[in-house]
Amino acid sequence: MKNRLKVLRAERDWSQSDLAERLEVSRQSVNAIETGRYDPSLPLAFKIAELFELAIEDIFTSPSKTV
Amino acid sequence: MRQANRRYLNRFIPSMICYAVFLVGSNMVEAAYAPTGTPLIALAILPALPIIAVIWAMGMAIVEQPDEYVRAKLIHAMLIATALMLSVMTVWSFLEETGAVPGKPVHLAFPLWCAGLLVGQVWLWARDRIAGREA
Repeated sequence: MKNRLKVLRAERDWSQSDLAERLEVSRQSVNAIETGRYDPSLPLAFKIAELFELAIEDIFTSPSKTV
Repeated sequence: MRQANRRYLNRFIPSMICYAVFLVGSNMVEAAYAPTGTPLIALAILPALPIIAVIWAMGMAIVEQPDEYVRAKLIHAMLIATALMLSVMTVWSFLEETGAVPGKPVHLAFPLWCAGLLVGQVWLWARDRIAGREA
């Protein structure tokens, strides 16, 4: 699933490790989500959205809208 | 995540030590006393119990893994292992029918599955490394 995680992270000058620490997940999880190789669960997507104080759809692009 | 790995090792290592002790012990008792009936069955089953404990530890490693991506990768690797083991056993069965190979070494099913798990984990690790470099 396409997302703006890398951009949002860069805006805050956070490394993948910084974001992983804030989300309480591994750095490889952040990398997999950023590169679209892994779609986070709904609880993790909410956690990401709450961290960036945005709505989920402001971070993740619905697969139906990318076709 | 580290705690989950530590808990897994705390279950895995004693189980493997028990396996080695039970295997050698049961073989020695069997050779020395040549038991029959129920004692023989008990002796034969004894080394299998720690292996069952290892399988349980692997299941708990998934249940207790707090990182959902790592958990998904572990399950993916286990599916690869299962597919490899079933494929090898299926091919072996057909070869066995023709008499080209001896009977299946069934006791090697779990070590074969573990080897498949290693292959799966290495493959997923390499995939992550390549994708991480491209990102």
